[in-house]
Order: sequence, then structure tokens, then C-alpha cells
Amino acid sequence: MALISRVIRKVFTVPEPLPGSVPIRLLVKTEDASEVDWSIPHPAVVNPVPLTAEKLAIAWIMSPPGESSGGHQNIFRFISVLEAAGHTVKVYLYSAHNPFTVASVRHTLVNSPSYPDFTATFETHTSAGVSSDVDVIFATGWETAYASFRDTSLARRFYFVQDFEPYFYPVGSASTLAENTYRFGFTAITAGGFLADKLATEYGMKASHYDFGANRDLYRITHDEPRKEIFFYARPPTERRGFELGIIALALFAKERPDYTINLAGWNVRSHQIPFPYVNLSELRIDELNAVYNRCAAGLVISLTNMSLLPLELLSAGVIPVVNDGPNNRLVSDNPYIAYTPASPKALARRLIEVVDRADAIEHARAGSQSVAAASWDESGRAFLAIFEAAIRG
Amino acid sequence: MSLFSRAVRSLKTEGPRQAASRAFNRMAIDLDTNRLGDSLVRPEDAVAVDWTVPQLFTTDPPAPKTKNVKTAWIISPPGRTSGGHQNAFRFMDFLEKAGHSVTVYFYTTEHRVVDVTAIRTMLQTTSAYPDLAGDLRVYDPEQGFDDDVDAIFATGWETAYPVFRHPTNARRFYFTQDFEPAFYASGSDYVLAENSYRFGFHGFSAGRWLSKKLTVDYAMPGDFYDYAVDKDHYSLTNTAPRNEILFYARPPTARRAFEFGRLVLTEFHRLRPDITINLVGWDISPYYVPFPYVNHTALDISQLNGVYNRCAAALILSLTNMSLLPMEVMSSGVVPVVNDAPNTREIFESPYMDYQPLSPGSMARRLVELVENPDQVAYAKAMAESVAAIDWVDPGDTFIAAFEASMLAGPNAPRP
Repeated sequence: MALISRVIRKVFTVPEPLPGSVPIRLLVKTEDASEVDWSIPHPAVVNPVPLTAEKLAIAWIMSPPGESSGGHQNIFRFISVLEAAGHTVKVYLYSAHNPFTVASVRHTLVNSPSYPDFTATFETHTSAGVSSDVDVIFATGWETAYASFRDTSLARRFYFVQDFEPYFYPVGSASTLAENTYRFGFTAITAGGFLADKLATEYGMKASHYDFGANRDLYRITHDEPRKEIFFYARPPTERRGFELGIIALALFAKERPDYTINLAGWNVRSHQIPFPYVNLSELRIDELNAVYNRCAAGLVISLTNMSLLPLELLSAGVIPVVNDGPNNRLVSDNPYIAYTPASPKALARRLIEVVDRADAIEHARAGSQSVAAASWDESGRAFLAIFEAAIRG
Repeated sequence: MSLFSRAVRSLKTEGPRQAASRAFNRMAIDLDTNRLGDSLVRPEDAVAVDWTVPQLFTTDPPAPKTKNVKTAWIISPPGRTSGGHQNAFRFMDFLEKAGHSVTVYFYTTEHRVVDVTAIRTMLQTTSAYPDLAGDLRVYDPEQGFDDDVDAIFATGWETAYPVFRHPTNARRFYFTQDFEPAFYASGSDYVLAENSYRFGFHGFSAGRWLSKKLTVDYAMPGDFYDYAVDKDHYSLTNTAPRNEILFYARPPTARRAFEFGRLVLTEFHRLRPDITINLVGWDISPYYVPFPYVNHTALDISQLNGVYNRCAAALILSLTNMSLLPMEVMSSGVVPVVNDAPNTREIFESPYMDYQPLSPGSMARRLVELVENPDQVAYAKAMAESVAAIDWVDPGDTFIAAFEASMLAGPNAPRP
């Protein structure tokens, strides 16, 4: 009997992990992932509260923004659209692991030229959830959707989706937890048509999109002469930018067209072995980009999930973007001046050569720039607001 | 720059979310030295392959040949317990037994020297491997494959690259056991793996889900063999009520979703703290697990049935091609709780497969229901009998018939 109870005690205590053991870390707080049971729909989704007030209180849950985070910059672009329409925005900062202070985050954003002006308040997201006066909750990154789902508030639920985030991981726990957020019943507003189409057809989400803009004030043709350089958006730590694939393609290009300068921008790549001469531009400030673009005839941009903003910005500056072919890019922009090419290194290199060898390169660049003249972020803001209004008033 | 100062820098410029997700994904890799050559494929092979240009082997295939076919297989160097390698060698053995010849080439980008003699000894002494008659060689890029080879089999995605590069029109086959791009985040390796399905090879896939996916998504022609359960190893021996459960836990294998299973079992333990949780598949002691469990580590095949027969239900997560485990535990009277998805539904049809949505709470509740089922014993018996009654088709017969049929095929239309 004593033996049995000893065995039982042994079995029914939590075994101690070994020293130096492997932590399990996910972007979402473990408790949030554990508690969210999306197989039982959230009441706010089952019976959406009708919103009649003209001015709404809108909560955005997001990870603490960094200065050069393009995803956060885009979030604040649309927060300022909501504020301009008379709504009040409250930002809730959610982070499972990394410490931050609200004051320092706010300071960074207010002083950064990359962020628009806004009046939103900032606070740390806690298990208490959003304040009781909140009418609408926007989730942003996938982990924030868990915080939104766990919140007992009956506020209307939206999901501001900028990429298909399960693709950021090998298939496993993190990709599954990210994918499940599309089953929470939230209304999606997405960056471009690919995401809206994917979320609606594969997950049955109510999903609408705004189109990308290209800021004409920042990106335009200033150099209307033959260009003898090319550009590659090189970000080795960001898997979806296909750094290694791009380098393999550029090595072939460099061999065929050694007289062309190859610019790498987006990351300091000096410590990578790159088998051809290149200019390491590292991370450039937003006001330095147009000058670089205007030296380039072609730009290689690999986007393996949702398309980058870069192809339209490059076009605006008269650079022909060579982009890997796929629905993730074509459904975002079907602009005929984007040179969509299969993601075979040799095919990409051949296409870059074709683009720089064009006899009518200058006219072609001008026409490419003209083709995006109408793509403005103001238009995107109006589309976003129309989707939002239709969803809450409908 | 140290990894730490890099982390601080990236925290400042990107915000903690990006920095964190990167650290989690690429933990083992020093980002500054993540250079070309870290991929499974040799960069020279990745550069040389241009699959957008149709090749001789699709436009001008060799004359039909079904007797004494000379085959070459290229594969990464095998380990003693690698199930994927064991399975590939089993199929090489089928070819030899059908009167064809096999030469095996080992392909790797690792610097470690491949010891062919040790591999030969392992094949001869490990019961999980057949003792192959054919030659074993290290793949030498200068030599490539023999010029007179009739058919070349790629195995892992990286081996498809040297197979594509072979200059003759020898027939090309692709022995696919999983959808390997899913092993990576969307990035260069994902693309290089995915592109291998566009090379124009003829696939032999483990199960119909994979075969269908490759045909539908990549227009890759192919056949499949069905899984078969080894009735000798798995059977119902315990007909008393069972009060334990099982989780197939393999933390290093992302597609087995260890962290997700841990969430499910944490909730399960909260609901029924009295039920023993068995973890099988890997030594879990270095991992934090917030509930008591029995750590079986990786058990020998002969010990599995004993553990299975103590369990009423098993949590088995398969995020890419399904594991054989659900069928095996059913033979032992354990109800498999399996994530509900095409990759699990399209492999094996049985009313006893307990498909559940991937919500930790709902999976935990289902596991409780299964343990508490008053008809548990009768249900287990009926389930085990249903599996035992299946006349499993021999995968070898399926394979040889499909192989010989495709050795007769004419040219494929060049794909757009």
C-alpha cells in the first residue's frame, strides 16, 4: 500500500525540468492561448451590438511598436484616419515576454517622422481587458486576437490583418495558434485583396480590403536618363523576403551584366557572404530612398506572403519591379508594369537582364511611374473608413 | 557583434514583437553568419536548376522498359531511428525483390564525412532496415549518377536538385513522404522545397492526401500507396476500463505541435487531475510541463503496445502528412483524438478517428468525454476489431505496379 501511494505521489507531481531546460515561448501569453476556446463563439460575435452613436471609442490592441516597424506605421496611418473621422482611439499594448514602458513607446512614436500625428491614448493591456466605454476592438498581430477574444466586453470585433502570419513559422504550434485566430469570428479589414480573398474563402471570415497607396511626395522620377544600377530589397532576418533566393538570382545577373551596380538595401548585410560586388546601403531613412531608386532601372522584390509596399513605390520612382509570381502578389496589384516572374533563380536573373536591356527603358519607366499616379493613401483611408462604417452600421 | 547586442539593436529598431518572433524561429542560427550553404541543398545545385525550361526527361523520355531496370536513389545519410529513411530503404528493397537494381547515393551539405561502411553495417544489423544488395556511394557532384541509369529517385526535397541536373533523359521519380515546404517559415528554403514539385518528376507519395496535394497544387503527376498497420505489434490486450491517456510528444518536430498539445493537456489535467498522462515519443525531461506525466521517451516498438493498452484515448497532432500512430493506437483499443483537417481526413477513413477542431479547450473536453464514456470497453473492442478486419494492401505491390506502369509512359506535355 505504501509502495502504491509512493508511486502515485511520484506520478502525480509535476516533474522538475532539468537545469538549462528548454522554455516554451510563443508571442501569445500561454494563459490566453489556453483559455480561448473558439469552438464556442464569442457573444460579441454571435449578437453584434448595434452602434448608433456618431463618435465611437475604438480600442486597438497591438504589440509595442518600434521606430522602423512598417506594420505599426501602417496601423497608425489608419488610426489617424479614424481620428480624423471623429472617433476616439485607445491603444492597448500587449506583450507576452518583452518588458516595455508606455511612456517610452509613446515618446518614440510622437518623435518619429515615420509615424503620422495622432491623439490616441496608450496603456498596457491587462487581463482586465479594455475599458467599459469601448465600442469597437481592433486586433492587429495574431497574438492580440487572443486578448480580444478573452475580453468579456461586448464591443464589436475587428481584425486589422496585414499579413498571413501562420506563414511566418514552420507548420507547428505557433502556426496553428496564429491560424486559429481567423476562426474567431472577427470582421477582417486587410491590406490588399489577397488576404481578404484567402481569409474569406479558406476561413469563412467576413473580410474586405483597402488597396496599397504609393506616396507621390516621397517617390517620383527625378532622374530621367538611362540608369546603370539595380536594387534588391535584402532583409536576411525576414524569411518572407527570400534573401538567399535573391542573392542566388543576383549572382547570375552580376555574371551576365558586370557593368551594373547592385544596391542592397533594407538591412546591413556586410557580414553575409555575397558572391558579387555590391553596394551595402543598409537600412535607409524614408527620405533617402527616392535618390537611390532613381539610380536604378530594375528592382528585385521577393514577397513570399502578402506583397510588400515596395513594388508600387519603386514604380512611382521609375524602377521596374521584378517580383516573384504568385497569387499573394498578383491579387494585391495586377499592375502591368510589375514584371512577375517564376521564383526560379535563373528566370529571375533573365527577367532582370531583359528589363535593363530594354531599348525603350526610359519611356517604359515613365509609363510605369504614371501607372501608379492615382494610387494614393488618401484613397486607401477612404476605403478603410467605408468598410468600417458599413460593418458597424449594417 | 554579439548575439546579445544584436538582439538589443533589433529590439530598438523593430519593436519587441518582431525581435521576439525572430529569436524564436531562428534560435539555433546566428543571424549574422546565416550564409548561403546553410540550406539542405548545395547553392550550386539551386543555381543550376531552371525548372521553367522543360527538360529532356519530360519532352523526350526513354523507350519503355520494365525488366531489369537500373535505378539510382539519392538520399541524405540515414540514421538508425529515422523512420523516413527506413521507409525509403524498404521501397528500394521492393525494387530489388522485383528484379530491378538499386544504387544508393548519399547527398548532404554537412561537412561531416559520410561513412559508407558504417551505413552498410547498420543496414545489415538493424531490423528496421532491409539488407540492400545494391551499391552505396557518396554523391560526387563531379561524377553525378551513372550514365546508363534508367530511373532516378529523389527523396528529400534537396535531393531533387541533383536529380534534375542529370544530363540524360533517364526517368525521374520523386519518393515524397511529406509536404516538406511546411517544415519552414515562408522564405527561401520554403520556395526551394516547393519548387521541387514543379520539376516534372513522377511522384510516389505516402498516402493519398500528399499525392492529391502535389497534383492539384503543382500539377505534379504521381501515384500513392496506402499506409498499412503492423498487426503483429499492435493489438487489444487489456479489456478492462482504462483510466489513462497518451500524447505523442516530439518537441523538436514542429509538425507534431508539442506546445499546442501541452496547452490541451494542461486544461485536461485541470478537468481531471486524477488521470495519468503518458508522454511517448521523446525524452521530455528538459522541457517545462505544468502537469504531472509519465515520461516514456522514445520507446522500442515492442514496448508500445503495453503502454497503449493502458490508455482510453490518445492525443495525436499531425499538421502535415498524417502519422501512422492513429491507426496503430486504434488496434490497441485507444481512441485517437486527431486535429480535424484535410491532411488527417484524407488518409484513412474510419468512424473511430475522433477529429476535433484545434481548440485546446474543446480537445481537452473531448479527451475527458472519451475516458468517461460508460461504453468505453465495448467501444475499444469494436474499434480494434475494425482495424484488425482491414485487409491492408501491401504497399510494395502497389509501388511496383505503379513504377512499372510509369516506365512505359510517353512524353509529358510541357507545362506552362
